[in-house]
Amino acid sequence: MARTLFGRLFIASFIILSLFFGSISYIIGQLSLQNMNSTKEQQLRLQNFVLMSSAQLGEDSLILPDELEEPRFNQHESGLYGFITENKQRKGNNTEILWHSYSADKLQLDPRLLQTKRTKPGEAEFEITPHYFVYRHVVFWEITEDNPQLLTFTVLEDSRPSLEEIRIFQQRFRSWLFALGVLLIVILMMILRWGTKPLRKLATNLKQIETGDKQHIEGNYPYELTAVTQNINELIDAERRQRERYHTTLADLAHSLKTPLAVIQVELNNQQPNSSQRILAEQTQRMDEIIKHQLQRAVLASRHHLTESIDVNMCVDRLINAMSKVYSGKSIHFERVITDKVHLKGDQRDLMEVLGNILDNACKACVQQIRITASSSQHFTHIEIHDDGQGIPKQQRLKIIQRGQRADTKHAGQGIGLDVARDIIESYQGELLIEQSPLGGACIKLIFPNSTY
Amino acid sequence: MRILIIEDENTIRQQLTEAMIAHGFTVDNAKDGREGLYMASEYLFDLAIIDLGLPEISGIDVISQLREKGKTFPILILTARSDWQDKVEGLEAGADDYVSKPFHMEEIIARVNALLRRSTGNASSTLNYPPLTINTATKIASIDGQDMTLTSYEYNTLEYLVHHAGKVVSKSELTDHLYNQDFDRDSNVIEVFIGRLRKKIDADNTLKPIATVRGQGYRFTLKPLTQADQ
Repeated sequence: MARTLFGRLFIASFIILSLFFGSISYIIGQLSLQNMNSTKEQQLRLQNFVLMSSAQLGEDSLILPDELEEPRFNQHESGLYGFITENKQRKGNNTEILWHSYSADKLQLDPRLLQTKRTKPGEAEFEITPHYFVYRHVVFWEITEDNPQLLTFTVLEDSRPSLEEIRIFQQRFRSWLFALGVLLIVILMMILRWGTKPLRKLATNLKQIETGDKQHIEGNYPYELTAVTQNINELIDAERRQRERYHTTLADLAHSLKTPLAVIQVELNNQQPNSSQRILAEQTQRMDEIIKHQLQRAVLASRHHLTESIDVNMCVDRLINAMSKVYSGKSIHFERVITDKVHLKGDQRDLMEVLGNILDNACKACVQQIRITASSSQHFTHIEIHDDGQGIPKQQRLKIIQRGQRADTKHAGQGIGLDVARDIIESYQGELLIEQSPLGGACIKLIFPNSTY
Repeated sequence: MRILIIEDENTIRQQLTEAMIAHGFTVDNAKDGREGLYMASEYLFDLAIIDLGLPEISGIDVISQLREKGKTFPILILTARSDWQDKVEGLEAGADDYVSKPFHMEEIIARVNALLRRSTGNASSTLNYPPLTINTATKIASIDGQDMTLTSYEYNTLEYLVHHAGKVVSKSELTDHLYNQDFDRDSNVIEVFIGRLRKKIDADNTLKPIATVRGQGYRFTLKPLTQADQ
């Protein structure tokens, strides 16, 4: 996933969102705790003051009413407990409970909860223990005139309900935060997909150009990518123009070389043949074949890597029409068995050259029937050209596809044609095979791999 | 038969012209596409030999434009580019056959004769109109198996009339097909050829092979040999 731009952006966004929501969850949790503690401190301080205000002086002790203003002090195990203790520091730091609220009647309480280190009157402290919020307030109470006592008013509240409330709040908050996070991630994914859509479209377009399904990058792109697409299109056009120039130059070269050869050949034919003229004629023929072969190799070497998708059916159609004209005197019956939409990736000129040379040979060799079949599987495209001629003996099949070999010397140029076809097919990592056709003649099998070029 | 050769290379044009004349054809030639297109459009030809690599207007464009103008005479293309894409484009543009350079002149002559036969609807090079027989490959005409002595122009006149047997051929049409564009059109040479042919084919004036259609031209009247006759 990290190898794609979308994956990278998604992972980075996911980490940032997780950190953000994690931090938010922690901070809100802490703040809610602090807020609860602060609120409890305020509440217990007030309860403490209520307790103090309810205390009255008796003859030698404090007197508190049976029922206090705060009803929870008066209910058994209500969760709010009040204590008045005397700090007997001079007697070994013991704490004597002078009064407790009715709610704390049967309360098993750790005595340490009622102890305080505060010694000065007016000092107060708030403590949070595992089970209680504790608020202690130290006062000097003059129960007798000459013997003021250091008393501690302690109010305790069971912390478990409040902590449970906070836990539920935090749990709900986290659930909402998680749901919001998931929603944000989904939205983020959609935004990322939308944002990277032009890049995917560009990649698809480039793939289509590479496989030959398109000639240019088409469609509207965001401003940031327009310059890139324009440059790529210009590069493709420049490459195409370069290829055309190369082809034109080679065609001009062929024209320049072959025209003088044609003149020489006609002149040689016009004269009475003798041994030196026969040598000249042979060498002229050889020069022609060398030019043809080397020019073809030069074209192969100049092949571009931005291929086209060639419709095999269309190429076969054009060639059959051409052959029907050239060999109209022979009334050849062309049978075509081509499954729908057989396409090859490559240069149309190459396929025309391969099929043209082989069909031309078949037209020369056949009696009256030629069958062309083409089919495509996942990895290969097979094209077969059958004829009902005499066929090619097994011992000659290997020879015939070797450079310049001819099986039938009565048709000039046949050898170089198959030679060129073999060169082209090999440049596509394909294969040319010669077999016996069920029609009685030769069957030339062409196998093109679908993905190597 | 009148042939147009459009070829920019002087030597090849000259060689082709000489070879065609030597085989009894009337030849006009052009050195570039523009001139060739003009001549092919303005004059009547029975066949054109067109090089694909022409200056001014390419050979393929010349062929396309001629076909667009309704010119139906056969066209043989000469090409130095031996790849099939170019050959197919030439044939698709309207050409009927191709010959790659360098070529043997015999091959050109054979292809030209084959195209002319095809264009006149004759599969064979022998035209049989008893008692007259014409071999278009050897350019020999015979009556009852006896070879006739004909001049090149007389033979060409007879072959053209036989190719258009049953149809009226005007004097100007005959002139166009027998002579190149420099011929003096007011000359009565066609009448002289027709008169000589009548005497040579039908010395006792019983067959009447060439009828004069007053004010229109001439018509070859002999019937072809059918399979039933054989």
